[in-house]
Order: sequence, then structure tokens, then C-alpha cells
Amino acid sequence: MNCPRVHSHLLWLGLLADGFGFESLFNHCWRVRESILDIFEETTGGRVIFSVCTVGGVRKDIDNATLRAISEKLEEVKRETQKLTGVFINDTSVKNRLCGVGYLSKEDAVDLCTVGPMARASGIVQDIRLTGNGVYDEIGFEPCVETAGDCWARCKVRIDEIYASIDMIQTAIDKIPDTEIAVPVKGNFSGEFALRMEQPRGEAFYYAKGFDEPTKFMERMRVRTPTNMNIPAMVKTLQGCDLADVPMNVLTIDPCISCTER
Amino acid sequence: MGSLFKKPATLMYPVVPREWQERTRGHIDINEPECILCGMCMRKCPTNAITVDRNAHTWSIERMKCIQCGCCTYNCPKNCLTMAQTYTAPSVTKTVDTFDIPQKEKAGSSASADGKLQNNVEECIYCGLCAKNCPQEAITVDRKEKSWELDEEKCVKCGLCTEKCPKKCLEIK
Repeated sequence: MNCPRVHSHLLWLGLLADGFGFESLFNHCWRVRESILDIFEETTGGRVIFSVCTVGGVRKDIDNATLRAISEKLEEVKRETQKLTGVFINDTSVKNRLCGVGYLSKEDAVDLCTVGPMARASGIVQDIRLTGNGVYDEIGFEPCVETAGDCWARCKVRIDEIYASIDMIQTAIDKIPDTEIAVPVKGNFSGEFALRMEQPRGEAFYYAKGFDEPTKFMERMRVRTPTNMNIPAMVKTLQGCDLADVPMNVLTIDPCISCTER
Repeated sequence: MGSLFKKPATLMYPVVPREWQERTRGHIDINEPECILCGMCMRKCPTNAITVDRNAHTWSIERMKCIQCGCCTYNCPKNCLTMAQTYTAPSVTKTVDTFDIPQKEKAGSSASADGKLQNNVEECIYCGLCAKNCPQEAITVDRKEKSWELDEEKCVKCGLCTEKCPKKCLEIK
């Protein structure tokens, strides 16, 4: 989950740079992202679509040599990202486009049910990884929070999350146990189950419902994606903004239009 | 500034060939002599990209429908399907690749030459799991009459019944 988070934030940084016209920065972000895509292809076989999840676990194992190689590659990604961070956070032309743009106060963020980095940039300490699902308590996790509430703060939150994710992946690589990759799951199911997960864009809500009698079929499956939750906040930030700030405000929620209302 | 003096990060494809990773999911290959035309791949394919024609002895795949998920490779009882690394070539038409499956020599069944399904009736408890799981509905089990019958014409020797049998009394030999 954290490797896709690094990938998603690097992709978004590239799009943000493209949004304010900084094409070469966009290309550099995506060049760094290529290393992450190589890791995905080496471990799962696909660059964006992984096809490794199965009921009970995952389908493909990763040997120790590959894990060490991944750790070294991520060090390289960290060094490259540090060069990009300097530009995003300190460059005057970038700050002119991001600082003070799209301000969302903490109260508004709570009222509009914002999730993910959009909420954390307005000072709300909300991250599903704090609730204890997964092994985040073992690999050490602190949410990245800013208080400025503008596009610059959201950019900073996502960049901090890249570094935090890389550190967590490296800790996980050190601590990963050498056990089965999947547990056998037998029988049919009934009833309903819901789960919240912290995707790169925010909280995603998964709901699955079986029939009353155990069968192998599901009655209903629904995924509520984080982009859907952040759209009201985007509308609020668009009110009264300059025309040139519209791409900034739209991009700042990290919109995945295809995910919206799946 | 450094980018001016470093070599390009992009690959001069197609002049420089791409090096594929070992696990890259590119396209499905079939080992035709091993195929028993059981049709498990066709049943499991989520996009219905595979067509198995037992009468014509062909196995065909619509390349543009295939999503390279690998379900067919996991479910093939003979492991004759593999995931190759190179992507499907771009095309202006929807490519359908058809492979002729050589006929097996043994008479009596159009499928494998590997023998036939046999049941050790002394161990059989007539639970009917084999019949329920048979994709071809080739097995008939009657618990009251204690009878187990196999329609050899329908049996494709996929081996699902041998896996499901709780008493392990089914064998293909």
C-alpha cells in the first residue's frame, strides 16, 4: 500500500507542476516515478494494474534479494525526491502559484467531510492508518499534518508522506516475516462487512454484502472513493478564486475522476 | 540544469529494444501438444476472451479482450498456458489468435491420451462432490442406490473431481 502511495504522490506532484506550467519539473517527477513502476513490474508483473490480490492473501512472493534491491532503489528515489522538494517548497515562482491559493479552514474541512491530505493540510489529524488496521503500529507511523490550509500546505503534506512512506517500506522490509503469502479460504459466505482504508487520496470505504444463506456470490459490493468526499471542499475553494487558480484548486484534491462515484 | 549534461532517461525505443522483467504480464502463450481442450480456461476467463472448440480442436484468444490477469494460467489442469512477457502488438483490428490443438492418439475420447478417470468404489462414500464440481456434468452419483457413473464421452480429464474427493478415491490413470 505504501509503494502505491509514493507512486500516486509523485504522479500528483508531476501533474501539479504541469498545472502551473512547470513542464520540466513535471517530467522530472515522472522520471523518478519510473523507478517505482519498475519495482511494481518486477514484483507483480504490471506497472499500474497489479493483479496479485486474492482471497486470503497475495499470489506472488518476493524473495529477500529483491527486497534488498527494492530498499536500495527507494534510497535513490528519496535522494531524487529531495532535489524536487527544494523546488516545490522554496522556489519563488512555485510559491506564487500555491501560497494562499484555495484556502480551506479547519472548520470548513470538518463540515465538508474532507479526507486524506486535503484534511490533514487544514490541521485535522485524521488518518485511517492510526486506527490500527494493518501493521502500522509495528512499522511506526506518524501522520503528516500542516495548518496553513492552502495548496502549498497540501503539497507539503504529500511530499512529507512520500518520505514517511519510503521509511515505512524500508522498516517493513527489515521486519517482514518469512511465512505463507496466503491462507486457504474455504466455504461460502453470508452477511456483510465494511472496511476503511487510507488510500493515497484519503479514506476509502469498502462494503461487501452476501446473501442471507451462504453462497459463493455477493449480493452487493460498493467502494466509496476519497475523491468523491473531497469534491464539496473543491467547490468551496473554487468560490471567488481567480481563473488562473482554477487548475490549482481542482488538482489540489488529487482528483481521480474515474474513481468518482464508481 | 544537470539534465542538459546527463544522458536521457528515456529509452530510444524501438531502436534500443526494451528489456522485459521476468514477471511482466504481456500475453498468453499455449503449449498446444499438452492441451486437453477441457475448457477450464474459457470458463474462468473474466472477460470471455478464450474460446475452446472441442469439435474443431482449436483454442483461440481475442488478444484485445485479454486483460492479462493470469486466471487461465492458474486454472489450467495441464499447465499448458503461460504468461509471456511481450505486450500484444498494436493493431487496427481486434486480433484473434487461433491455435490448432493436435488430436491425441488414444481412441474413445477426444481429449488426453493420459488414461481415464477411475473410482475406487470400495472407498467411495457417494457424497456426490465430484458430480457437483464436474464442469462437464459427466458424473452421476446416486447416494441411495450407491451408484457412481461416468460418461466418458463428456469427461475432459481436468482433474477437478480428484481434487474435491474427500476420500481421494478418484484417479486418472
